[in-house]
Amino acid sequence: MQEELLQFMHLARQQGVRISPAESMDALQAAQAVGLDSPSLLRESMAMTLAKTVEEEAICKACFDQFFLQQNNDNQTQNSSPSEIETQASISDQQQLAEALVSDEKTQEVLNQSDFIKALLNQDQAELEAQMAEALGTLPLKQLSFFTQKGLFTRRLLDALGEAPIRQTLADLAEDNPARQALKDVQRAMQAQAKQAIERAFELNAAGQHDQLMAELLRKTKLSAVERRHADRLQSLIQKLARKLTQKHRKRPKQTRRGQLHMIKTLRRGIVNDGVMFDTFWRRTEKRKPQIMAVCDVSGSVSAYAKFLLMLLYYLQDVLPRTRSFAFAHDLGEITALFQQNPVEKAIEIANWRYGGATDYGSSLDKFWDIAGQDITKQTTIIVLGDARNNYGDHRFERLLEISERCRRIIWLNPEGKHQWGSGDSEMLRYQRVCHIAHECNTLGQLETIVDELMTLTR
Amino acid sequence: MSDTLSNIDSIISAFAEHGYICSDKIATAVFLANALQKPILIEGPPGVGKTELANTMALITEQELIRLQCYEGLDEAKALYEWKYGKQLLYTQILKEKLGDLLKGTQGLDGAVERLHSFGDVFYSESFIEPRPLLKALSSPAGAVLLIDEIDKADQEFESLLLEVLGHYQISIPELGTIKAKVPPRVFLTSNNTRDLSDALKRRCLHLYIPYPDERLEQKIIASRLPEIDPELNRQLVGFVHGLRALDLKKAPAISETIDWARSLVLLKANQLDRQLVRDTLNVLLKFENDIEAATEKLGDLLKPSVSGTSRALN
Repeated sequence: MQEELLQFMHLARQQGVRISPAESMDALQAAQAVGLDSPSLLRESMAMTLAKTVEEEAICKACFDQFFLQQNNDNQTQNSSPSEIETQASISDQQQLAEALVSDEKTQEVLNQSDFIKALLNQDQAELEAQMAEALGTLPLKQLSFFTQKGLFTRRLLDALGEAPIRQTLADLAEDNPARQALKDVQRAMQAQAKQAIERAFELNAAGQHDQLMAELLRKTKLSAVERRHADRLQSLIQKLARKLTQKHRKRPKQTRRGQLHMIKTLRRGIVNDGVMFDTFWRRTEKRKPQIMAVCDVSGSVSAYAKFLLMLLYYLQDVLPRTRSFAFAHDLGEITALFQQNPVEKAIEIANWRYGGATDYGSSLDKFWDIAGQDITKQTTIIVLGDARNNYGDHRFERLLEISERCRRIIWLNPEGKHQWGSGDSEMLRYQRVCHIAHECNTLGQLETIVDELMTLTR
Repeated sequence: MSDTLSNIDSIISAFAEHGYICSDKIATAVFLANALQKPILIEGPPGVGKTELANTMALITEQELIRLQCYEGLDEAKALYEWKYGKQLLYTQILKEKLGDLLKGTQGLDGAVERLHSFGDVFYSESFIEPRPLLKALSSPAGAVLLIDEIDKADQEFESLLLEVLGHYQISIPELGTIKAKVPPRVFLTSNNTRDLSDALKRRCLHLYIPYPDERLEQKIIASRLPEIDPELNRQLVGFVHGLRALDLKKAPAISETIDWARSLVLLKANQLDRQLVRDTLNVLLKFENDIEAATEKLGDLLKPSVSGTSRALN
């Protein structure tokens, strides 16, 4: 049973539940405590020990059903429905088959060699299952992760079940030999069984791996190339990212000269002075609240990327209430309220529509200074997303310089590759001089590293 | 006592005796927590009986309930232990006065220091320690039920502080060493999920999510809390509350609110719901003006399935 439970945990792990060895030990202990009599009780216990969130609980339970109950169902359907519908026919059929097989020497030999065929003819379900499990055990099922591999695995399973001699014998037998037909039927039944077994193994094994693979691929894909239908998945990835980041992001206590009297420490310091509390010690939690202002270029050339940064900002703003967002192309405007009031898709669309157009960095910087300049403090981080392509307009570098002097740091994320910076109408090299961090950013993976870096800095 | 907790059915009946109707899921969690000696982390919407579970547990096991309410800024001085600094100060004063007597007859400085060492360190000893909830729960001789309420409200640093207590039922005090629980306390943590808890904390706990109960369970709960309620009224009001939960409300009514509502309906001697009665008492169920307005608009639909034709004729 332990083996089965471990397999179940392996499956749950593939579906995205994070299960550490310590947790699997707990789960095994729990299984021991509740016993194996009641499936629903075991299911509840597994979900409780393995899952850490409501979502994981649902996954765990689904896996449990898939893994244990489906096996039972299969047994039941194989036991009941075929036997009910076909039994009458098949019992006589099986006998005929068996007789036909015995009638020829060669097929008789094949029959004697293979336990699986014997079980098939005897309708011995338990023996069939056992043979099948043994054969499956010889295959490297963990490698089965694409549906294209199913054919190969079915073939290997058939080999493991001992189908090769059947093929050999079939070729040897004469066309009109009744034993040939019988053997063919047996082969067909065997193939059907093997196919079903592989199908089930694939469902158990590969579904989760597929998800993992997709997430991994998405993180490496260029943001502009991510297809529309993957946007949902990306959204959840970003949400996860934002949540992860904010966990790290908390205020920390710092000693200052004023605040609440720390009696214990004062007392301890007083001990050296004969218990006279001469040297006072104050404790106070200084709230250092970092603020993020994000300025996003939504002009045609970067709009595909902007959409994803806007999305990230949207969720960041959800969790970091002090984040303010701005969008610009020819004109700049604050979109914080827009984000607060609208669902993500709509908010991004409105932002794109309201501020899209040809880029003018100079006037946008001026406008930004007008709107938010007085709110920039030494705790403010400014994130700019844009390609710095100014259409040969006035770059207003002095304005950015002024901003950079007032804020804590400027981070510039450029969707263009580094080698393109400064080419043509790009002002990136100029702007880069006052940016504290300037990064190329066009995959989610890059974004993740940058935001991570930002968070460690903001502490 | 320990027999009660070693069987799922007896757990359900023991909780029912104390007026807590629990589902199989909750009973399983209690059973596992007892068998594996692990804390339970309870999540769920407010008012589904998370705190009540710990209260009832304390009643069943006849152990002391020690409650630690978490809030932002909670630190070890308030959760673990604190030194009784006033007494420590007095102790140093007394020591100074008695020092002459104590050191009488010693030869030179070395002798005095040696004599001083032989006294043992009283300054940092258990007699000067002021136990806070966590330490109290660990040192309770008969074991205790420790309820750490709304852990999500505490800071992340506090979570790491809890890990030692939850994992090994022990506390390390730098001046004294490690204090281990004689009888491991039964620990319940509740969370309203306002932020994600750390994986390290979650790993050490059994995870129990208590959702809103289904209609049958909720009727049972109401009947156990208010035995005098009319079964028909009970069915109607639970149906109505479930209809409310399906609406998009700012704060959906929880079990505790259903109980309050049922209680007020019983006080008003109502034996079935009608539009006027619901409109007058809706403020017991819903706590936001907007919610009340939204619900009033839908009152017709909400009452239809649960109220029979005769009462609709009244309106």
